[in-house]
Amino acid sequence: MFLYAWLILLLPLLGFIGLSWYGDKIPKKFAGYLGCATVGLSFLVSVAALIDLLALEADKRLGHVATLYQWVSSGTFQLNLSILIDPLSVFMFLIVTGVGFVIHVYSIGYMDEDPEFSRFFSYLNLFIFSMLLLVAAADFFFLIVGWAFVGLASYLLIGFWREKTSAVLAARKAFVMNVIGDVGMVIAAFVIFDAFGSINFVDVFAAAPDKFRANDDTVLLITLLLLVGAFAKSAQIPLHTWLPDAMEGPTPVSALIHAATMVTAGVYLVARCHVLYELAPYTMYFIAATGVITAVFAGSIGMVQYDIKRVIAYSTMSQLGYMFLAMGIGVFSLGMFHLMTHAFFKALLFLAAGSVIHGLNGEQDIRKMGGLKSVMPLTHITFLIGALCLAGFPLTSGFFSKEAIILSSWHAEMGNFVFLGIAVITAGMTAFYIFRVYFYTFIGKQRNTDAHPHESPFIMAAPLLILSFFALVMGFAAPAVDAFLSPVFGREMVHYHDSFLETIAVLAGLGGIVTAGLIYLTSQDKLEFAKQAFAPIYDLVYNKYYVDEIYDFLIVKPVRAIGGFFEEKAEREGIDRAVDEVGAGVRQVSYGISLWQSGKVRSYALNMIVGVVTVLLFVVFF
Amino acid sequence: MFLTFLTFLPLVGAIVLAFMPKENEGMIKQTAVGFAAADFLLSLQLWFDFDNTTHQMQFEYSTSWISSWGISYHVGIDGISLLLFVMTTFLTLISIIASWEVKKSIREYMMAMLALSTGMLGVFISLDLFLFYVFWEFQLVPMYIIIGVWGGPRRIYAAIKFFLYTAVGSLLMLVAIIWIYFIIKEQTGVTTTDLVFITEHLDVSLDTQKWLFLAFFLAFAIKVPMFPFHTWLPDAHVEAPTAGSVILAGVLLKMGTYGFFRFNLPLFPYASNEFVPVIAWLSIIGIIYGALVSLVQEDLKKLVAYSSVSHLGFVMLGTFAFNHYGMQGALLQNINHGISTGALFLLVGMIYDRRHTRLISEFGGLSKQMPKYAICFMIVALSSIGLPGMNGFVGEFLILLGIFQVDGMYAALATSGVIFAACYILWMFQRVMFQELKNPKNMNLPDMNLREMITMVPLIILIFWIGLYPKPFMKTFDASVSHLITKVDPGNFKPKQIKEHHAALIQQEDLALLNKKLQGKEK
Repeated sequence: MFLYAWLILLLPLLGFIGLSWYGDKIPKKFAGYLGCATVGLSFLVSVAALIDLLALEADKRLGHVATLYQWVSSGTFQLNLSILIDPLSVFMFLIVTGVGFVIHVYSIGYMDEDPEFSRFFSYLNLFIFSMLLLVAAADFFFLIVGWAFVGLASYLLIGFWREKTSAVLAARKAFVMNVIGDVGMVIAAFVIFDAFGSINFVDVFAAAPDKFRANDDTVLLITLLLLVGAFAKSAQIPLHTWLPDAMEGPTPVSALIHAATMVTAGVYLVARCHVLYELAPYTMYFIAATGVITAVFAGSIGMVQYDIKRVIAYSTMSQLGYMFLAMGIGVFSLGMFHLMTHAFFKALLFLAAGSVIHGLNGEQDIRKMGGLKSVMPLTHITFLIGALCLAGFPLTSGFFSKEAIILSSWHAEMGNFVFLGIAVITAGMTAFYIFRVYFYTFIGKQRNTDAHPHESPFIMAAPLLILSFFALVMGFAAPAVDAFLSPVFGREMVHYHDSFLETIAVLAGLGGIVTAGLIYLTSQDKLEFAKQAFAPIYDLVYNKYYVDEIYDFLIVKPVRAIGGFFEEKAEREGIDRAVDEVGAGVRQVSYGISLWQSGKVRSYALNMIVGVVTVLLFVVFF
Repeated sequence: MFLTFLTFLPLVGAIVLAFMPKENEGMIKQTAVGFAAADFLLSLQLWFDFDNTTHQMQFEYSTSWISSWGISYHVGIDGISLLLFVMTTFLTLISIIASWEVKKSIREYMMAMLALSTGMLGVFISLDLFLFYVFWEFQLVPMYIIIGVWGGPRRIYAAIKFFLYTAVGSLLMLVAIIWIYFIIKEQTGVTTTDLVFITEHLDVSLDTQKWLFLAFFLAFAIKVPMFPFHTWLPDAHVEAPTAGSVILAGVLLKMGTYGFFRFNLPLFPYASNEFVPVIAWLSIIGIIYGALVSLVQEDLKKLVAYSSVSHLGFVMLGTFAFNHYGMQGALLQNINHGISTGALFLLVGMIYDRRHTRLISEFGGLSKQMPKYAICFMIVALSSIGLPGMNGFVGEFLILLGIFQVDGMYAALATSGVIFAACYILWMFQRVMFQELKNPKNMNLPDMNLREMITMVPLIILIFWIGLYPKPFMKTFDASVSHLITKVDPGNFKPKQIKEHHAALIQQEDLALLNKKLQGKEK
């Protein structure tokens, strides 16, 4: 009955194919509209799927598989091209196409002057298709396919400005990191196939609880291997280094891919496979720990960066950490809820930042901004809304979702004091760094007097307003989201009420804002003084804990050195030389033999006599 | 007879060319294309008429050849050789079109290409050991000439190296063939070199199997090429003209993997099982080693050549998984590698024709200058990496799935090759196609012309076709692989599982007795 849901995927795919073939031949405006239209229609079909799903009774909403055709069959390995429709996938459809559509519209304005406008939209459509395939997949195989496509789309979009070396390098880094994740997923799929004889979600998840005891080795292996993929996509330590670099891409890309959708794939994966993860409490614990460490790690780096997009990128990493924390302590629907609110306010923040960058003709360094409040009033107010949501200001959407996770980090069964402590500290940091950017950018005097900032056109402002609206109100949708997702996770979430912790979390956020205000609104001398005083720590954090340098030293350089060594020693000198030596040896020997064939009859006669005598002696004596 | 006709049609073409006036280049090229195209189109008929449900040889033809030695002209194809046969005619056509710009003695060049085609096709259809050997040696000659005459500056060295490597391997194979000939004569009283008969009746002890296996192994491993027998390949590729490289990668290497499927596994199943760890490790070393060395290459063709070493490692790994996934994946990956790597060599050839250099550092930013080329290159590069939706992924996935069932460790190590592939291909791609166009010599490069598009588009269609709907291709292998597995299944050679409490009671002598019995059963 959900066969029409294929339209959700096919529309953006058609957009991609159409735009990449005919993009140059149709008027530029039209290419943009076409790109938006496919995603917009896809959103409408998703809404239809939502309505159909809601019409069903809660327990009948699961496991609707829509199959197109049999894709491959090898022995017992049979695979259909099919998608899975259930509340979780529809929830993701709505976010991906909804936020995606708004960002598409924004891109019409943002990329207006780019000579390769239609190529950009074709890539965007490809990305939307890939992401939808990822969340729609009904088995691990197509999950991996979507997973890899998302990596490809991200590669193409980060490296969109292909003449810019830094962009190309960032794109490659992202792709390779993601391939590492893909490989983890592929091996996980093998283990799953080995253990269950199937890689269908429905079969595997139905069989898992009976098949394995908690913390069975196989389940631990599967869940950890899947995590490699999840961490790579969602930029969790240690596979995070690609995300900040990915900011080299155009800003709508950062908003779409590196905030609202692609990076949430890892969280989605854990939610999708929650049956397996619930069988592996050790892994859950590991997820929660990694999440919380990433949250504070990225948050601390975000506090000292000067590139407006990088700060927001680190904040994305940090918020993803919260989501993984939620997943790890088993409050799946809270994690998904934060995923949704984050998609709105983070897309908003990126797009507002994009508006700033657009208005300043490409400037991204916040030290060269300032006083934009009066010149770009709309951008200012929307950025402020986004910042308040991110900081968890009461009654904004971020407040509801983050608060719930912080409370659970103590009250949930697996919660503990450390998780809670770090989560609260990170909340403070979050508020601090985003308001640091806010104060730098919008308040005070304009620092760079050469720039002539201007407010962005309507086509960019409208998306900001739409996202602001959702960022503000979606917090109140928490019960609805919970009720909608609960059949998937098999239970209603417990909502903890603890006014003490709530107050602390709110205070942490407010404290961050106030501190940022105190430091950046008053004189800058104190700032320099603080930097001096904490110089070693500051350098460490400013240089992102030298993770890139460590990888370069530990992995990249040795691998290249080994390759070079093989090329030099084994290829040129070793194997090849040995072969050539053998060749030369053979030549020597044959030269020696050829001496016998001197052409002198006398020596032939001598040889003959020696030969005959030898043979005779042999015959006589043996 | 149809098979024979298809096989010798190119040779007829070569003979026709020999009688053409040397000066009329246009006619020579057209005739060559005509023969190759006819051969390809007619060979599709094989595919349509092929019966997927049986492992038996089809389109068989057999007649006595040298009757006193029992040598026959016996040809036929099954699921293992069908697609290789079609791919050979296909790539021959593509390479001939790609050789349009050859300046030096075009007539002789085309003759060599067509003769080469006959040699390769003969290898894939021969069902007689002696006939196989004849074709196996025969195809060496035109390839040797193509590299040696139309190759790059070090062509003589490369050609001789290519020839010697292959010849040394095949000499041992000849010895093994003669040995088998005598064994069969002794055991059944029949003097024959007929492969189908021998496959059914050959029955030798494990030790003999091992020796025979090794003799064939060397011949095929050099051809594949497996680490450490690969060093002829980069030289041959670098020096060969574009079309030569395409054929080399697309078909000649496949003769090696085909040999394992056709000879080593069915003839020496026990020995094959014994050698699994050795071959798996060599393949894995090849995968990683090839990838690492690719990473540091400065020459585009060399990079692609080493990537072949890495990719063929996957094929070998799948072959020796001895289960359905691995072997089907290996056969599919055979085809995939022919398509993707063939396409890569064509693409490298295109910029070589324009710039007469293949050094990566000479390029950069070409995507702006040559947009069509950039799109084609990107698709092919991604297919080589094994991106889902394209051909490489299906094959690699099945191979890894297959080898995973043998040993998770093998699969885990082999997958690192996938990561490295992404590194070296993307790095190369970025340095050639992206970044700023700085080198003034690249400023006015023309984009792909119609002829080049004609060679490229069919390959790209295949890349997506196999990636999105591999079933028509996979179907052809099915029955043959199933049949082969019944022979090489590791379960055939393991002592039956003994219950634990019994095992404790069985003494050393009992075990020896058991082994003897089992060996007897084998016989």
